[in-house]
Amino acid sequence: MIEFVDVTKTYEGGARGLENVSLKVDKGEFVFVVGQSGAGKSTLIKLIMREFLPTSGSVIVAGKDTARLKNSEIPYFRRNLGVVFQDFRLIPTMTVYENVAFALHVTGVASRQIKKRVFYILELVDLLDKAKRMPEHLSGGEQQRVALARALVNNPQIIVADEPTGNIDPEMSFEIVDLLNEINKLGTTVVMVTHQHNLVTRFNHRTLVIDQGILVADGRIGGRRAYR
Amino acid sequence: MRTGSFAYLLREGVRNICQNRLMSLATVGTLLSCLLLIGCSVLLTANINALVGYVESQNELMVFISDDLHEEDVAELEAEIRAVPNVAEATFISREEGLKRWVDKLNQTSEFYAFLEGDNPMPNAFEVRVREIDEMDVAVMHLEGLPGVDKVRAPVEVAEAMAGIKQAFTVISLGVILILAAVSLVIVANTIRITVFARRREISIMRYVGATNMFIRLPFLLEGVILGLLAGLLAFLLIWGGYSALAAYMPAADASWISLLAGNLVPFSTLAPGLLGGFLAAGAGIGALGSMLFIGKHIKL
Ligand SMILES: Nc1ncnc2c1ncn2[C@@H]1O[C@H](COP(=O)(O)OP(=O)(O)OP(=O)(O)O)[C@@H](O)[C@H]1O
Ligand SMILES: [Mg+2]
Repeated sequence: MIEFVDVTKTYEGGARGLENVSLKVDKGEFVFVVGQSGAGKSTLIKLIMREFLPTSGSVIVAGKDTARLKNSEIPYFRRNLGVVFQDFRLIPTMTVYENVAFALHVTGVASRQIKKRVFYILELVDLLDKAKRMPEHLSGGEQQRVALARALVNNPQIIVADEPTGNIDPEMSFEIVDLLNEINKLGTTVVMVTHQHNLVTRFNHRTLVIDQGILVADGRIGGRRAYR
Repeated sequence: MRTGSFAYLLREGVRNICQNRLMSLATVGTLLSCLLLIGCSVLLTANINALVGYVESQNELMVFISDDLHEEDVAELEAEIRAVPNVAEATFISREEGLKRWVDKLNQTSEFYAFLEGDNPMPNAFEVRVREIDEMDVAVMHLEGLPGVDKVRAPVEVAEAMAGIKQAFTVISLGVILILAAVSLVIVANTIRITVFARRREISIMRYVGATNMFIRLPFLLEGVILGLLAGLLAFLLIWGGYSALAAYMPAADASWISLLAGNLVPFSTLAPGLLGGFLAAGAGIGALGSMLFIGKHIKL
């Protein structure tokens, strides 16, 4: 589903994002990405999203080499992905329902289908009763669930989440990962960046460890308390 | 594109305008001012042209012919005069008629006419009208070259002055239109830039949920077009009111030159369709172009 072949990303000015990273994530996998601040985790996510291209090597997502996508194909490529960020990125002037429906409207989905899908997804993230609220009247965990609903509503094959629990208190964090687990069980591939060791240790998922742009470990470390 | 989507995009465009009310108002106001000035200069030019056209139509050349010509020669000459380029019309004026006109013009009595009739000093002549007043001098040259023509009397100075006036007004109004169109473009572009800035969060979300470029841009395009159409419609209504008021006021004025002008004021109904169409097209065009002017810089993939 996702493949990095000897990927290096150097930013303008010479900052190292990633260096010679090769990895493969299969369909239906759940992968954590961990590493210190500045290690290159967000760089990896942005490469998957085709926010930019690698300096060298290739990134293949959902069967497409991102470097070969024409500009006009990028929007359609991105519909394979659902993206979630640490800061939720909800639109403050829209209700919960509108925030989720927005993703369907702007991809040209017919209005009749929009209602049905949005309600279905809001039920999945357990926010049906708060559909008419504004984001500012929700807790951090709830806001992130709205963001997750928005990422899911287009039925993507892959969810990429860059520290989705970074702004939420710990119990809520487990809820979010539980939700991602459920989605993953429905067949969606999940790549989730996190800083929180307790999440990695509690959920026994494959974990990529990045340090200074280099992929230093790849495997299951869940349950191992010693991870640092 | 699905009509549902278009309705959504249109609503987004309207939402942009409503959420940015003050800025939208200022934009429509500025566009309106520009269009009004453009409209005034168009109307002024139309009237000047009509006036010049009127004066032109009053302008005749007199082609005096030699007294030696026989009747059939005169008929032949008439055909030759008509064949001269730019000649619209040629009417034979006999010596007697010429004298009569002259006496009338001098406000003289019939005794005076009778006195002169015995020894008429007037030659036979043709009264000639040209199509293009600016090329009257060429026609005069041709006419003077015809055999049997004695002399041509042409108001060449008037013709040149009229052509000059027409040209000056056309150039000035064109310049005014161009400058104001450019100003309007920048105004719209700036407004749209502000909306784009206010919407940058939504735009970034649209990008990563996979909205196409067109889908991201269209609301801004529609915003520009709506603002432009609004300004165009208002400009038309205001010009309509103003012009009608002017037309109603002018005949009441005493000054003779004003009534001369008013008598020739182009009726609004003949200008209205072109003006309305022009304003709407200009408004929509400026809105569309203006909204796309800088947007590429602000919305990238
Ligand atoms: N747009 C950019 N321009 C230049 N350098 C950048 C840019 N984005 C990131 N970097 C640099 O690339 C390196 C990796 O950044 P990245 O954002 O991938 O780190 P991260 O692992 O996500 O860190 P954090 O945990 O703090 O989010 C850092 O040294 C960072 O300073
Ligand atoms: Mg990061």
